[in-house]
Amino acid sequence: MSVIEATALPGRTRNALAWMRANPLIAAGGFMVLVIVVVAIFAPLIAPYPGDAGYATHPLDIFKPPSTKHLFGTDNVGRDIFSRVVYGTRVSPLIALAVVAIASVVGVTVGLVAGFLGGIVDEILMRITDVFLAVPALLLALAFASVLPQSTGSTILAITISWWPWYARLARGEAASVSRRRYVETGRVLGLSRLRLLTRHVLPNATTPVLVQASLDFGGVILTAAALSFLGLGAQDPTPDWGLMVNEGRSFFQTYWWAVTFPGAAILFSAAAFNLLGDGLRDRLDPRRVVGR
Amino acid sequence: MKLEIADLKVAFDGRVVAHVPELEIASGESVGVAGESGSGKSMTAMAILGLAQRLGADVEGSIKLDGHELVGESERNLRAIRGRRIGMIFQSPSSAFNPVLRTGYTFGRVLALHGIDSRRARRAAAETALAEVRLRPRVLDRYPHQLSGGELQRVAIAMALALHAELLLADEPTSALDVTVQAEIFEIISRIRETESMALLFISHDLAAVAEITERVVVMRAGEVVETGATRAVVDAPAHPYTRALFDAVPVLGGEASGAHDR
Amino acid sequence: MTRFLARRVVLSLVVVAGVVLLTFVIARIVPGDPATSWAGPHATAAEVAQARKHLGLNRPFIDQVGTYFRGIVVGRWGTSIHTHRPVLSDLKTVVPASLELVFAAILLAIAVGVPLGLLAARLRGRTTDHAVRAVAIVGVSMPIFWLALILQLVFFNQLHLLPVAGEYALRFQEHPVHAYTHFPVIDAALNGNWAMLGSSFSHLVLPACAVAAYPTGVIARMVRASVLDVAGETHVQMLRAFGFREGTIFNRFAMRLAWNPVAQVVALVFAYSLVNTFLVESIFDWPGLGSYAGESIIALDTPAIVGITLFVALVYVFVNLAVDLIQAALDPRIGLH
Repeated sequence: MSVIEATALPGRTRNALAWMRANPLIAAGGFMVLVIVVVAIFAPLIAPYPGDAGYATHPLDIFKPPSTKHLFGTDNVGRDIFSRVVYGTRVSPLIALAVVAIASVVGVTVGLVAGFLGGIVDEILMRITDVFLAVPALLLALAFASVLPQSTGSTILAITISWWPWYARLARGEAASVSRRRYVETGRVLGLSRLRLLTRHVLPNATTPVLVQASLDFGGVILTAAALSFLGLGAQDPTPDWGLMVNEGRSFFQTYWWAVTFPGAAILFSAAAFNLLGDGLRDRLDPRRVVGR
Repeated sequence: MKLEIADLKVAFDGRVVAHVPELEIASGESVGVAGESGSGKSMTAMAILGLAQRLGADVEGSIKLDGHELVGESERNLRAIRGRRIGMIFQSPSSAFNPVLRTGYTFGRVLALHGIDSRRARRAAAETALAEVRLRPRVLDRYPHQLSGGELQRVAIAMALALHAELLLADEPTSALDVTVQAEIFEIISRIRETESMALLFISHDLAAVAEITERVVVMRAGEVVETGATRAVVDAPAHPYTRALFDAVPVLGGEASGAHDR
Repeated sequence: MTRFLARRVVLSLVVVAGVVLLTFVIARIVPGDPATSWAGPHATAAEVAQARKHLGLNRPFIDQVGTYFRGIVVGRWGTSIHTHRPVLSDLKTVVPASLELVFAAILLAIAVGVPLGLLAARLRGRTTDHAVRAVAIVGVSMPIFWLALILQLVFFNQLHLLPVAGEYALRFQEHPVHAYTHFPVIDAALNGNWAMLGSSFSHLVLPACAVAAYPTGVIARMVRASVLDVAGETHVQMLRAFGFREGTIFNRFAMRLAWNPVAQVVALVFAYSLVNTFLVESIFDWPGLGSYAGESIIALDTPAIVGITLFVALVYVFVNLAVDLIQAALDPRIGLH
């Protein structure tokens, strides 16, 4: 028996470790996402000053540097940055979830209709999609966000408007290729209703690439939402939105570096977490079809 | 030319995917390796050229080319053999050529690699080889997508021919082509075998093809050799039940399936 | 070939027309009355009515769309509310600075991303591969405005190495060089003004690094994926079977295929980087499109925002068209040969 075998870990742990080594991206991403979810759920318990995520202000504690009392220091009105960053896990990922959910549903519906019906409907819908895709997502979201009243809801709406076209294109591709397949043609000949064909055959096939794209998009939406709030177009004070926090700390940044560093690091962490997970899932499920944005 | 395989084992992560206890090919002979996909046929060919290791396989055993051991040989020496003494053609001719390069470019580079230095000499060698496979020189100016699968496969054969390879490994060369084209390719290969004394290792799941073009056959299943012998004998009276099942599954036009089973 | 070209161009025009329509829609869904915001907060009723007439808001909808379209084509892109100058001339002033930034960032991204991607592909599955992929993901997940601030903090505040404000030191504005290209770095070089060249170059470094993070990540991943894709194809296997060295196979044969998807990605990140400058320019006092956009957003300057959107969309469509045409010229499988 070799030394390695003699010091071997129990079977299940060994399998788990082997899996993690084989899928480092999913493992790392999954772990990081898990951290975010746990922090979001238990925010009131983890944050030492939950009130600071809301309307509380502490004028006497402005811009205190990081210490044992305030892990990440305090901001321009004395709020504990650590608490606000913790509560921020409830803001950004939820925005991302809302955007991805709505955009994918709308986009997939449009795409399936276009791909399945074909012809002039397909052409028109796809040209509309092309138009939306001709403007980079951040810019389109910016344009819409600037004409809507500033709030978290507007952020969601603005980003969703710029995000749905990709799903439409994806779903349309799936629908078009599946609808040409033999068993669907047979179904048509047999007189199955179009709706049934759509739901029974086309939809399940389209699900995988859409899911993979959605998981890849999470990170991108988090960054876009953060950018919008950084520009002042999204969440408003006192929402503990990370992008907003960076914007608030920006003018004092050179002296009070912690006001910007920690919220920004949180953005990086969460975007990276979802990107890692999405990348890993893509490798596993659908290596050829999906393009990261 | 004599290729001798003795107790060859190709394994991935400890799992043996191909095990050939014995196989010999001499100049001018034609040997088939038959079996379903996954039976280890292609891996055997890759191991001969030393390409299996590149894919991550462990190769044990002996492969001797004219007495010279190839297993464990250096990459440098193997590269000298590849193409020059042992050529290989692949299953999907349309993807076997780089789509953005003219076939003539690839052809020329192959010839230059193996010592034909002047452009004119290369062109001449290519045209001679192409004539043997009944193609006009102008295919050299074409891109792969402008040629048919059959034409591309013939270009591949011509490349092996131009290098005067002594053994041609053909991995499912006609599986992607239709029957009439296949017949043409077989006719060309048979002719070349006669004129050049080129040996042929013909790998295929298509038993009708194997029956037509090989003198001896090795039947593989799940990595192991289940039967070997003269093709005629094995086809007429397969000893192993797997071989029987394999041949029975092939409908033969205008004749009886081996074993005279009704379908 | 002409048919392919014609089809692509027509399609692009249709898309551009659609974008114009889209910007019209955006401009019109502004809550509140454009006439009021044009006339200003202290305007009288008469002045607001005057503004309404001036802006053509009384005319039927189709009429307004038509005028809008015609205006765009002719070059009348509206007037900026906060600068009171035509949007188009505003754009002409600010775009070169951003283009300089984006070009620098893309060049940097290619210089770093391509070798990293090649390295990761070559050493697939090993630690280096995972490390490169991790770096690429960090690049793609990076909040650019945060990176810009951190770079400032480290390289300016702490290390005092690089400047952070403007395109070049203020003293050079007193004796401006002849502007051939409106790119300070190139103009300085063309004028032989080495001091200014040094200044404008050092000012370019930090902003370019900030903007380069995203494209570097994207390019590295794309190169890696593309090379691995090609490496798995039969023609690579065949070249090996004919005795070619690995190095030759890649450099001479495989890479020619691998560039295609990478080129497309560069077109995409070009437009994205142009938009990313919006997040970075105000931090570096960079007088480009991003700063202009920032001011327009704060001022809720709809004509300006719409003009910017239209401009970037045009750039994107044009760059994509250019890349498609170049690919068609180089790839024999597409329409041409």
